Order: sequence, then structure tokens, then C-alpha cells
Amino acid sequence: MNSASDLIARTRAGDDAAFQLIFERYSRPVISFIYDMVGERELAEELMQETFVRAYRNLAALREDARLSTWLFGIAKNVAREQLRSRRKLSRKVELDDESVQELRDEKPKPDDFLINQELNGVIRDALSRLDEDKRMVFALKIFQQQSYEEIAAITGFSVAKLKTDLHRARAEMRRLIRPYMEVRS
Amino acid sequence: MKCEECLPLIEEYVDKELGQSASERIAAHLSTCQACALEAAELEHELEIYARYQRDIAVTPAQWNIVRARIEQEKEQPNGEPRARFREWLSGLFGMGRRFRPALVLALLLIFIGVTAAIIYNARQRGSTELATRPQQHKEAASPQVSPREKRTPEKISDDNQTVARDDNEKNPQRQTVKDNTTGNQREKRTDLAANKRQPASRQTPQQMRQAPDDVAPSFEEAVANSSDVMKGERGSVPAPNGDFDFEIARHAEKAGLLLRSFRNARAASANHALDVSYEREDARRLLYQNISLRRDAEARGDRASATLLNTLEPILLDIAHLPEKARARDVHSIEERMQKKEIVAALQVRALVASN
Repeated sequence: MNSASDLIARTRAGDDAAFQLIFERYSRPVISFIYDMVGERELAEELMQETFVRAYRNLAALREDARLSTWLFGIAKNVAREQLRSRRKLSRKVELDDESVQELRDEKPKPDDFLINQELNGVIRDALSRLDEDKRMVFALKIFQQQSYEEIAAITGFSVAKLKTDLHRARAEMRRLIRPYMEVRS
Repeated sequence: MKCEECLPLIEEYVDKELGQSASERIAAHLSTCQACALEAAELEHELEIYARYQRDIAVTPAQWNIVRARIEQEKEQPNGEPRARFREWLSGLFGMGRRFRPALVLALLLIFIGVTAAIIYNARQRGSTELATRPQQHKEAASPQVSPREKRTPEKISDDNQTVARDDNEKNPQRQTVKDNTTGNQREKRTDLAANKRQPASRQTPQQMRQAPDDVAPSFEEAVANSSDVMKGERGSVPAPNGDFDFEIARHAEKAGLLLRSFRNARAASANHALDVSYEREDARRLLYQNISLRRDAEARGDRASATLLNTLEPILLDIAHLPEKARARDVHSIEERMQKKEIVAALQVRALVASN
């Protein structure tokens, strides 16, 4: 009843409640991906909203055989890239370890895990921010969003060969950056 | 499987991107190879760490309210939608983020226009340079290995005209085919022009002998003297060769002269007998458009001599163009009489000659 294709069809027919269900189902992975790309919470929220507005506007253009999540990640990728290019022009530095960001959580961990997880999150965020844009995108889609190579190729427009190379290099770079933390943890 | 084969595939194995067969081979190797198994374990451990990564973000109902409000706003302003799409498209195109910058786009457009204008200007300059060199090339092509003094003898004039005809035929084989199929006598006339001069009279066919007087071009002096009403009072004011325009006139005069001579040679057994003038008719139509265009140009330039000549030629071309395919001999004869009265053929030869010199 509420499969992706049903929701798309209902939205196309003018049922806004169906689009709300799409938003509720996919907004979390979309905002996570955007956040991994841009590294700022408020900006990620804004770009996630922009992604869904564009998705609604262009829903008629969605092919029948396309996966909704892939399509949404594709829009999110475009929105995030536009923002990153704009930001590069303004020479604004991404501050991934902004204190205000770290203060906010959607889950409350146990007190003894809190410091460890906080440190882990900071390390991963910092390592992610050091990857170049293509590698960061491929890494986020594969490792955090569990998209297949084929889906990542559809989202990014990269060839599978390129994304495999990018993913391998991103893994190596991330490993190098988080290794000290991994050794402590183990 | 060897380690060299396993290691390049191990990330894909961990990512579950390998097919069943390859996965089973890797798994079998990992069960026997400690080094590769350690590599796989490290990758799995990394994935576990990344799985614990938590972002300081949350999706709240307020965000949906914002999205819904924006969608509603767009619905209420349907005209704004294409504009917004255009802005998005431009933003994507120029990589400027969501802020579309008209100044930058304007600058890019100006650069594009400038480059295009420069390309067009260069192309025109090149074209005019080629045109300016064409009259000289034409002279050289019309009289190969002939000194300037002897190149304008009457025979040469006739040969030049036939050279133009041959060039036309080579350039337009389709027309040649039509002519051959529909007007066999015309083809004979055209191709026998040179033969008439080369063959002695005894070897010429009766038809060729009949055509011979018309095919021989008048001498230069005769042609000038006979160009009475067309060139009357203007012989001294024939404009000096003026680059490509004069060359165009000369070419046109040559072609028209050739056509009129071909037309003049048409003979029928009796006044009521039909003549096939389809080739001449087609040629006249083609030349008519060019004639009108050149006459207007000549008038605009104040070239009275050329304008008068083309003005005289125009109704004759028009009459030939309006003839039926099988024209009555009397109609053809009527046009021939007008041609003779106006001495247009000679005048055309003179004009071609003056420009060529």
C-alpha cells in the first residue's frame, strides 16, 4: 500500500500526505548524507529541505524503473555540490568540529559511552572533512548509506571503476586518520 | 585462489558486491590464509566503527512544515516555477550555488558574442580576399599559356564561352543528363561548337554546317561596333573592372551570351513545328534571378552601362523562361528577332570582354 511506487503515484495524483510519507521515510538518510558532505548541521537541514522541494517539483520526471532513494540521493548530491562550490568561492572553511554541532544529539548514550562516542564522532567527522569531495561522496554513500556500487554510480554519475578507486583510497585515508582511535579502542 | 587474486577483491567481498561464485572462492581462501583473513577482519572492524558514527542532526516535524510551506508557495505561484527551474539550471551550469549571478552570466554572454563576431568577421575577410583574387584566377584559367595580347581573338572568345559551358556541365552533371535526354539537338549544338572550328566543312554534318554561321562569334571590333542601342553613348563609360562585382557581371554576361546563342541556333522545319527548348528555358530561369539581382546591384552602384545591358537582357530571359517545353517556332523566332534588334548577344560578349580585360 505504501510502497515507494504507490507513494510516488499518489503524490503525482496530488496527494500531499503521500509525499509527507516519502519525506518521513527518506529525510533521515538524505540529511545524513548531506551532513557528511557539507559538515554543518543547519546548512544540512536547509539543503535537505531544498532537496525535497526539488524532488516534489520534479517528481513527474522520475522514471518508473528508478529507485526513489537513488533518485533522492542524486538530488541531494546536486544540492550539496552546488553549496560546496558556492562555499569554495567564498573561501569559507568547513568547521566540522564546531562545538555547537557537538552539543546536539538525537540520542542520549549511556554516560560511560558518551565521551568515547563523542570522540569517535569527532574523529570520523574530521577525517571525512579531509577527504576530497568525490571520495567523501562515494565513501558516505557506500559506508554510511549502504548503497550498492551500481546505485552509487547512478547517483554520482561516476563509472564503477572510478568509484571503486575512490572508495579504496577513501578507506585508506580514513584508516590512516582514525587508526590511533581504533588502536585505543581495541 | 592465491593472495594476489584475493586481496584486490577483498573490499568488494566485505561490501558484498561480489557474485556468489567469487564470494565463495574468497571465503574458501580466507579460511586457509591468515594474512588475507586479517585484512578482511580489519575491514569488517572499520565498518563496525563507522556504523557507530552518530551525527548531531535530527529531522523534526518543523522541517516538514517548512518543506510543505514551500511546496504550497510554489503551487500558488505557478509562474515562479519555471523561473526557479531556470535559475537552478543556470546555477548548476555555472556552478554558482543557489545564488544565480546575472552579472557573471552577462559577462559570459558578452564574451561569447565577441568570439562569435570575431569568427564571422574573419570568415568574411577570408571570403572577400578569395573573391578579390578570383578575377585574376579567372583570366588565367580562361587563357592558359596564352599571352595577354592574343587571348581575346574571336575564336578565343568563342572558346572561352564554351569553356564556361563545359565548366557548367561539369559542375552540374544532372542538368547535363536532362539536356541529353530531352534535347538531343541542343546537346549536339553545344558540343559541336568547337568541332565546327576544328573540322573542315567537308567533314561537318549538314546540321553542323547549318549552324556554323551562328556559332562563329563576331570579331571584337564587330561586336563593339554592333552593340548599338545597348552600348550607344556608353561605350566610353563602361566602368573599369571593379573587383568581384565586375567579375560577376562578366560571368553572367558570358553565360547569358552562351544561352542566347544556343537559343538562336534553334531551328524548326516549319513555323508551326514545335521546338524543344526545355534546357534553354531552365537556364533562362536560373539566369533571370541572377540578372535581376545584378541589375539592382548595378543600379545601386550607379553602374549605368551594366544596368542598361542587364535591363535589356531581362525581358528576353523572361520570355525564354516563359516558353513551354515544346515551343512553337514562331514564338522562338519572335524572340530571336528581338535579340537581333537589340544586338544583345554582341553586347553581352563586349561586356564579358571588357570585364575580363
